[in-house]
Amino acid sequence: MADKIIEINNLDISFKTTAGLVHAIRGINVDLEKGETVAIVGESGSGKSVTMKAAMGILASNAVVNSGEILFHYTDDDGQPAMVDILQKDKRWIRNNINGRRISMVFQDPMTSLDPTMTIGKQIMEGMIWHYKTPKKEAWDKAVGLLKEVGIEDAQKRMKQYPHQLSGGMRQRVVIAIALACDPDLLICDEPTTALDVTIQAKILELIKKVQKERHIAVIYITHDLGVVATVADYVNVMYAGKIVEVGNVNEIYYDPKHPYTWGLLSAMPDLDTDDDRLYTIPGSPPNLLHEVKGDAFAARNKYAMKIDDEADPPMFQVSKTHWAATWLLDPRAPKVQMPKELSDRIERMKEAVRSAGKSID
Amino acid sequence: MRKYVLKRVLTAVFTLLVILLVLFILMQLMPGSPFNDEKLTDDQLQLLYEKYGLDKPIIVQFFNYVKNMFTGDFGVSYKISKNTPIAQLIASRLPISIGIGFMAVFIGALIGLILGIVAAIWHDTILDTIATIISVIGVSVPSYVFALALSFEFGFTLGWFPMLYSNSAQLSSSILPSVSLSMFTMASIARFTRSEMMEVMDSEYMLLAESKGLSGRALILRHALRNALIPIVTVLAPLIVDLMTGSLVVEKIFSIPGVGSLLVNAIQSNDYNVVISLSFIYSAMYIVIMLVVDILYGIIDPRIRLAKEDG
Amino acid sequence: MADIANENKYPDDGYSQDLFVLKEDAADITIDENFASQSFWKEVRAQFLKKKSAVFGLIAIIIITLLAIFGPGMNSYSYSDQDLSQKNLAPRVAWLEGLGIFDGSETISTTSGSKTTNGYEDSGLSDVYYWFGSDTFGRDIWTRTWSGARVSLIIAVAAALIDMIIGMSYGLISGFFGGKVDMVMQRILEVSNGIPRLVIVTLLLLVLSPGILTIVFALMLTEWIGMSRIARAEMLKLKEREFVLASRTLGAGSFFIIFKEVLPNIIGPIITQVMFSIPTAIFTEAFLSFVGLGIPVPQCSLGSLISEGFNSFTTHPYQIVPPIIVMALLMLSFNLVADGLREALDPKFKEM
Repeated sequence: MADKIIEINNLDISFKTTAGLVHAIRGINVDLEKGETVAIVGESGSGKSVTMKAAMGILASNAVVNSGEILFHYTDDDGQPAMVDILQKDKRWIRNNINGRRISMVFQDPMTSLDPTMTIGKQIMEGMIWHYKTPKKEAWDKAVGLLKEVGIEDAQKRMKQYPHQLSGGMRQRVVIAIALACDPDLLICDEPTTALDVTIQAKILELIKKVQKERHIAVIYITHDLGVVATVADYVNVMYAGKIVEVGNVNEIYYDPKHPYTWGLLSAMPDLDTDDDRLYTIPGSPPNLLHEVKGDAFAARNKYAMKIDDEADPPMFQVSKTHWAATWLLDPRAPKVQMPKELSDRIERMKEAVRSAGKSID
Repeated sequence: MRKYVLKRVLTAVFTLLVILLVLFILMQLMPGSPFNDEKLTDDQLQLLYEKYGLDKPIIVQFFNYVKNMFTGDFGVSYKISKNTPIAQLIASRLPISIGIGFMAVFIGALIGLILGIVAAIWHDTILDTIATIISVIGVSVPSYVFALALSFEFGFTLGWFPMLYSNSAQLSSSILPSVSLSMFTMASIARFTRSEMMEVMDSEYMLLAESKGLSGRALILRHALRNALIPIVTVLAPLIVDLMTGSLVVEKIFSIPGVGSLLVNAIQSNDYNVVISLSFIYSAMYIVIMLVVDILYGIIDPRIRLAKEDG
Repeated sequence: MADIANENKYPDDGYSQDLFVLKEDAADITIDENFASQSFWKEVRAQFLKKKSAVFGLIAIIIITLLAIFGPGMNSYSYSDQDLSQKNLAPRVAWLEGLGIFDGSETISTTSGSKTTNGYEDSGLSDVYYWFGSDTFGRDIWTRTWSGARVSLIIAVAAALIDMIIGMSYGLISGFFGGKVDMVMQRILEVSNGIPRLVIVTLLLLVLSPGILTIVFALMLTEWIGMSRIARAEMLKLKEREFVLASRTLGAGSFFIIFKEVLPNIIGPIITQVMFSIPTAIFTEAFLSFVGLGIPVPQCSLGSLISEGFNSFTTHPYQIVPPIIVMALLMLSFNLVADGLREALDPKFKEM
């Protein structure tokens, strides 16, 4: 496919800690085309952020890449299409060619991700001046333009302010402006709305969508909230314990999930329509990756676990052209198991709601 | 910011008044004041009382006392140097102590910062270990042990520097005392700088700056150092207290004619008037330094400088 | 979105059909092994023991404490026995004598050069052994060093514990009640913090006579502030946590919440602070003794021993060495242990 922007193949990463080697990423594959949005969904500690830090070349120093490649397609300085395996490049090259320029990142908490001692303006201009040696005046004007683009009023005045003088939502807009400063091709948003008020969350998502459309850039969302994903993503990767357990387009994941973990995540979504007022949670917690996992990592928390789950890790079973899931339940030898009744009822209701709103779902 | 400064100044003034009140009360209670001299007759006492305003109400006396302290009228010494005005005793000694103290702060802060930054940037390497060992020894070994060791090694055995302070060779004879005084400051600043730098380098905004593609040097200089150095200003004040304490002993070891050794003499010979005057001077110096540090902190940290006036 | 390894064509993997049955163990999966298996203190202990410097510090503290308890009784001298005929004797240990070290000889530097003498031989004391030597009054330095260490440790630990109680209560109360109470208490704290420690101590010594109690009292007046700051900060953090709110909703009284609910949760940082304040106390005591305001003679502390040794340290350096080493080792060890504890207790220091 010609329009690929990033392909992560068989990525496998461990961390050296005082307690021993933690196998955080256990062979994952993600790819993304230009202009598309993919979401990586999972609980905290499932390895979502680590994957993205690997793509940015900003892994912590105790990380060890065991295998895999991260192929990034871009247009080089002479205007020629080029491709590079980010994992093979040294930090310096990544810094000068990738970070900020072609891939940039929006972080989770705008309260802590801006330097408290530097003005907003300087923080936006920093990247441009660093990468392109943009003259100060030009950089200033561009930064003001960016602030306007991300919906900040009084841009001239804000340029000279410090982060603590802005509200949380405004700060996240500034973070987005910083990310856009060097016109990147790929934007990685790491839980961009988790730390914000619910009312502001939607506005920030709206903003990212708008920016993506106008600039035709690819976006990767990292989130634990399937609700966020529904409104923005084209494709969804569900990640569990350093592995991708289900992947598909938004409709497949929402209306026809196959993996018991995805069932759990969907059931755990708060829902106004249910008469059942208990909030479902997936029992237990993710496994400790300090110890090598035998079989399916989710088995211990899975109501539908089979004996085979303790023996071997399930392969990716193909459900449709775009839909894959790693669960033995899809094996022809497995008993036919349906998703929980509550969930299928819920999905029916969602479909109904969408239909009545007059949209198609396939 | 104005409110912040005003608050600090008020606290400082109030603290100084509290100290003066305590000193004043102690003065009233202490034996050995001129009025306890048995040879004085009642008439003479009466005259003295009038002369010093002691026949006035206690409140007036207190404010007279405050006025005297601030104008440098500390009274006279009774034991160390009979009837010499204390102001005169102190005047020649204070510059020497301040000079050595300043040198110690300078050496300590400079080396401490460098050690701390090096340890943080190359953390978990041999450089970090060396810096950590130096700083742990620095906080664990009292300054007078350093003073003894240095004066024995470089003064007595090697003879590079004078073992005792001399007015004719002020600089060379100040080096050993300043270095031994600076050890604690150096070690504390190194430790603090390291942990602050580590914390800053671990922060989200450093990650964001890194994701912009800045080089390591730009990251450290523009983002890490600036953020790490702000809180370091705050440890300077407590360190100065330790420096004052340390100076007493170090001045004794090197026979430095400074205020520290004067205080030690005064305490040992029960010259209360001198002790109390020096207590006032130490307190006043400390409070002024704290005030300056606080205001400085406010100026360099935009979160305080630009805080809302009503907050 | 393709290109993902396709392995599901047919199950040619050798797994038998009977593995494909549901385990039906819904009851088991609610047990959370990750959190059930690790206890907080066990984790802290493991982290602490992993740090070599902290373990070294702990062992050194234990050894010094044992020597401080039993050391003075290990030979026949007492800390105050004077024997002027046996003054300034260099260290001599029976079973090291043969090796040519600790044989009681010393090199004395004089203006005319240095000469080696052996005080024991000169005075004909063939069966007298001073392990660390004897001082200018003919007292045994071994016995005095360890009784000095005992006094210093007692002062330091007592002062640290009293500070802990005062500072902790002050900080917890100030943080818990907040509002006006907090404001007044913090202003008081700011003012007391503005008075240099040196001044408090010297003024106190003008009023009280020197001795262990006076020193402990002086330390008490000066060292509680740091502790109260930590306790207050922790209280402010914990105050809004669910378990405190729950306790409050259930009608628990303020003091019950402060001391029964919050206190156990902040014990970690408090212990760390105590460990840090012990070296400060040892240091302050040593300073006071050096200035001549410490323990009255013939009692001794590490500080007073160093002060005594100072007077003869160019002629008989061995007299000042034992107390200096013991003190430096104590301060170092407490600092190392405190560092180790802080790291073990602070979740920030744990990777992943």
